Amino acid sequence: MNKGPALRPLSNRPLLTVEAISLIYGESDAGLIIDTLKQFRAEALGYVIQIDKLWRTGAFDDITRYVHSLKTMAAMVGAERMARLCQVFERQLKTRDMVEAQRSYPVFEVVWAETLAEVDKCILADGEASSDAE
Amino acid sequence: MIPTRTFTILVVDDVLLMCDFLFKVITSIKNCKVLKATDGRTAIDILEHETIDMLITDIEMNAPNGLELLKKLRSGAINNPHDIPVLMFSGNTYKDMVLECLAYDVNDFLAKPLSADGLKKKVVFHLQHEKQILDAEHYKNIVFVPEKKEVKAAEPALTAEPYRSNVAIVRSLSASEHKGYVPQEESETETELAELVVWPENSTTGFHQLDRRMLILAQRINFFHNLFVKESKAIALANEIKRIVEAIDYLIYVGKKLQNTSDGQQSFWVFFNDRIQKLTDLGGDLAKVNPKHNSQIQPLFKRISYWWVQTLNRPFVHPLNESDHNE
Repeated sequence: MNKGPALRPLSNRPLLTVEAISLIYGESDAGLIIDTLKQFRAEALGYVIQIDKLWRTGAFDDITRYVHSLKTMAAMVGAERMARLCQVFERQLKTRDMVEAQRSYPVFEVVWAETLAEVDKCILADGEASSDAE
Repeated sequence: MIPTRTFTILVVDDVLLMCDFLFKVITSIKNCKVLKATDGRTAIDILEHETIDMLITDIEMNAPNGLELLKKLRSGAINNPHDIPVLMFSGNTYKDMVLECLAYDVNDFLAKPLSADGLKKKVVFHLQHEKQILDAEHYKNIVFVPEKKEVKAAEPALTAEPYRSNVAIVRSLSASEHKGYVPQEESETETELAELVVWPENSTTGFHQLDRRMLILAQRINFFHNLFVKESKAIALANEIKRIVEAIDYLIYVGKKLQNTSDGQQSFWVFFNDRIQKLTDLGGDLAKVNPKHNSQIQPLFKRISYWWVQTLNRPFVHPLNESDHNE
């Protein structure tokens, strides 16, 4: 059976595929990967905090824009599960399908936490590897 | 080939990660100097005070967005040559927005995610190939009337409304269309959908969730078919293929979930699983198709159509009044 990537359910999508960074940048330098992950972590965290605040106020246009940006960022670092979830969430918000969006938000929080943990693991592993080398 | 003089390129995106990526990649092109802006206002400021040779901007940003930047530039509202190449990129593309960009003679669209290599090639190409841009006066006079849409208090997602894709219909404008761009005259028939597959009215699988997914799948297939018939560009076809595959994905997911929670109806689920198995294979083949090759797409329409006809049989579908929904 031949399954295209889009046929996989959300849980089967990898949390983080750092090779995506090399593919996008056309370089496989470890420093570049870690710097990109650090930048993603800092920037995406800011967006998630904003979304959390806005979710309570119902400013859905702003949330949609932030989710759209998060989708871009996540795709750039190979955070596939996050990117896919943002894609679905963005569509629900744009069409004001609030029933589905309300269901997606808790999943969004969970997937973000998992993605963040995975990113931290990568950054930490690199730090340990660097100190070992020293 | 590498540009022969120094070009100043302005990149605009509200996502810093993307902005830095654009900066890093384009800086590596010989003779290219890059300036960054993380919002439209800063971009206008830079365009006013620097001589910019190329603008690369995201479409979806806080106001002014990429389209508004393009409009201001082309109509001479910004103190910078109005005819510089403009490349737009976005993760989503909407028909109205793309048509407007084309009216303002955008030089190219870049689909996210971008790759360093692809981006470099596009930049070099557009620095070397001049596109005929009309007088600013022409762009000032453009009046864009978006497609008519029904106004609703709250639009539920994925309903049984005629499917409007959020994929762009990207097509090459003929010379006459290009010069005398009158969006108001866009033919109504152009947006009418020919139906390759039909979800019969007053029919049901017995599960409203499956009915809805089948209806959406039919709409997406029909939309894709129409894009293909109208010889839309490969990027539009590729996007629509992705959406069909997603629709299949959803259908499978919903079907499995229902199967796990519903009791009995063995014959229904045996039939369903058999059809889904074939659909999965079909979706897999569709995902592999190169949208530039019509010869690869054409046979798939036949297979899809055949699958549809074979599937819309008992015990999968029956008249709506025959029984109530199971869920």
